[in-house]
Amino acid sequence: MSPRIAIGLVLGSLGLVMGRAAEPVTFHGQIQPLVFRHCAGCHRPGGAAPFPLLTFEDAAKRAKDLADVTARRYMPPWLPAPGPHPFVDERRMGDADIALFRQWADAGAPRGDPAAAPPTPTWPDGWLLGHPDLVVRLPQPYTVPAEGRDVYRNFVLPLDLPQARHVRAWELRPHSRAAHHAFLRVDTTGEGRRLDGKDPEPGFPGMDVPSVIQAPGGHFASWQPGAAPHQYPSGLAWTLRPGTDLVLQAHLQPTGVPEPFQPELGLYFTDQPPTQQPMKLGLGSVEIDVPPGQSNVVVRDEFTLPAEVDVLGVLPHTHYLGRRIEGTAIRPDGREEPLLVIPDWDFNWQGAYRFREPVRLPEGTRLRFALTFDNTTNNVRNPFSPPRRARYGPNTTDEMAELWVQLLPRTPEGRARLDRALLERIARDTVAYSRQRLRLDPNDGTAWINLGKALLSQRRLAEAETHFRKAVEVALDLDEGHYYLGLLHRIQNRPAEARTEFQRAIQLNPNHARARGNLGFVEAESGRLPEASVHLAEALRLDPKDVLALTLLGKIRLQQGDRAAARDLFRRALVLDPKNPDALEGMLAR
Amino acid sequence: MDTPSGRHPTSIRIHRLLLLCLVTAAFWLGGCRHGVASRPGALSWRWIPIDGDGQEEVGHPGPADRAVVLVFLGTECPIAQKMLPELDRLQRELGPQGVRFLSIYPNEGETREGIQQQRRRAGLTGEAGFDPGQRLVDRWKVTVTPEVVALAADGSLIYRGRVNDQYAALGKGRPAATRHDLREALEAFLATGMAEGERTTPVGCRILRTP
Repeated sequence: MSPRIAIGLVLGSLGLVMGRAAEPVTFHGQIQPLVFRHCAGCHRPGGAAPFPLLTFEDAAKRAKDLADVTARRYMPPWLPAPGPHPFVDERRMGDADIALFRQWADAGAPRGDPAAAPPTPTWPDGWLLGHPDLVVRLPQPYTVPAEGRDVYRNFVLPLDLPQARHVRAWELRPHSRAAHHAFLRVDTTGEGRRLDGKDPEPGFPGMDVPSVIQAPGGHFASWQPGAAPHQYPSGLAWTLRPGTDLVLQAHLQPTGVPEPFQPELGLYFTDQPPTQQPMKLGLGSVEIDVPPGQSNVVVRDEFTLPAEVDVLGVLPHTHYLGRRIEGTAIRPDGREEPLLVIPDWDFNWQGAYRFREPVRLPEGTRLRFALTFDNTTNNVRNPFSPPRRARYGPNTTDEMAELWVQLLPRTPEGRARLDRALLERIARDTVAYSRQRLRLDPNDGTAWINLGKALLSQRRLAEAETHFRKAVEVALDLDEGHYYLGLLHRIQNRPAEARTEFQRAIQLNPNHARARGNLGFVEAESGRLPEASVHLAEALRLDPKDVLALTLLGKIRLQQGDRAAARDLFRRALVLDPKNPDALEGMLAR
Repeated sequence: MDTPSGRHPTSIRIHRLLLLCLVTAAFWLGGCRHGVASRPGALSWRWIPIDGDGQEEVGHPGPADRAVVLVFLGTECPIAQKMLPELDRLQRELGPQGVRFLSIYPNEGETREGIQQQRRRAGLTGEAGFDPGQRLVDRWKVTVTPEVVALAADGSLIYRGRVNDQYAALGKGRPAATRHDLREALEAFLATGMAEGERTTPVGCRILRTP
């Protein structure tokens, strides 16, 4: 190549580079498509964000803020660092796109050619997945106070379904800027309605809901503003049976003005019943004690998979002092893979993350969790200045350290092994959790009950009884305490005392299905069949899935000569438990 | 110099501003150009009160006003909205002691209806107005909403910056404030009469203007 040609090429390419650098970044050219893709889901009229960003007028006056908040990665809100296993609907913006916002602001936010504008997205009816099969609205609005601490409140959404439906997707429209995040829960017992009825305002307070109000079959069912609606893969729908209520566990933040909260929930159904149910592993610890001034206090936990699984998603949780969260899979050959890394946790943007492709992990893989707390003044989210000692607790000024992992075992045998291992962990965690709660509040009746239950499962009956008695002593209106005392007395073959305790539980909570069912058993064992029938029928009204109550009432109906009613009860039991020996025997009885 | 006629009916119409400018020009020209003069004895502000007839007016401290707090707010800024209950409390508690609060809405695109609706929801009373041409913003080098400039009646600076320390950056907030800077500065001023001129860095949403 001659020197002249070489110089010409260099100059030519320099001209190209300079020409490209000089190409102006405009709103309609580069910025508006990014805004539509990354921001418009919330920043649209009626959206979750405080202002819209759809038009040039909306965006240009905020050009510098847009450049700043994207450069700091405060917006779009997305906590996880990029990793080998990407998540569904990642809202992470690329470095090149972020640079465009800065260039646009620095250039004075030029409009560009309106003819080049991309089509403005539309949201028919406001629902992102189209009109739902069923829309449920909170019957009465709840008003979030203008200021004060965050509000944790549980709202019952009655469904009144005439038949069972399988949920393939759901979307929450909070219609309130106070809505910060929420979990969807299922209540087949009416307990939520009862607690709601005790509180004069809509819903009932608390971060902890009674254990009968549960997440739908192995799912996280978590919501946060701007997150894409939940859509479940084929076979992983969850079923809503008649008589089920939904309970929305909402975290609401005061905004400076009283905010009405009256959410709408859209449910999308499928005819395909679920073929599998995921399981949830909780990694974490209640042994949290972070001294003031410490920036590097790490809480760890670990679990070895007893079977091959697909990991479907993860849900981290900590409060204001948690900074760095790591969830790692260590395969049996020693290879380490990050499942989730959050370098700078933000309590205000917590949520669940679903993997785009399930992460398959072999038996023997270790799942490791590490969470770093920062209790210094450098942590700008520190609730206290000067910092104070932080310990485990349910209030936002206490601390928590959790990583939930959603697992799908690959085989039925694997599921059984995983189930056993998880039950052992839950028993261990329950004891640790309850002890911790009692350290904070010796009058915590639920903690006394949970410790009693752990002792009961180990057949340490006398100690369990002491704990249940303590529970009803410190919390007089605790129906569960009387229920477990009744159960203990049944095991001890003390029917008269068992009857008294179950009756007391029902008196405190007429919807206590298990107390009703057990009272039916006590009466049947005492030969009082008419009384037993009444209690069992009521138990089944409250919980139509109680197989034990179905089979016992079937047997009583047989004895009473009502074969048709008996067969109907056994049939219902077999639908729920096809191999139930009592129901099979009952069906064959003549 | 006009004689203030009382605590609230202190605003005069824009044509009287010309006179004010002429009179004060010999002492300090910047006051009229920028909207508020800080020379002791010459505190005034030019704005469009929200409840007025849309005309610019000039306000002065009344005889009972020991301090005037310019509170820069934006209806679309979540951090500004979050401060409203605290500002309302300060006004109710310190207003009777001679602290006058002026809510100033400088952002492009603010509407009377939008401001009134938010103030009604927050239960805020007191004076509010627009900052035409963002002159008060320029005069006081205000960068964000919420930002406060607390001035003694003679124009000397008591305090400027944030309302409290609840936010360290956009999106980085504590569950509740641990320092109440504006309250502390005003209470100290009321107790001592000394305008200390303290400053903090305000955190919030940048003042909106199309480049």
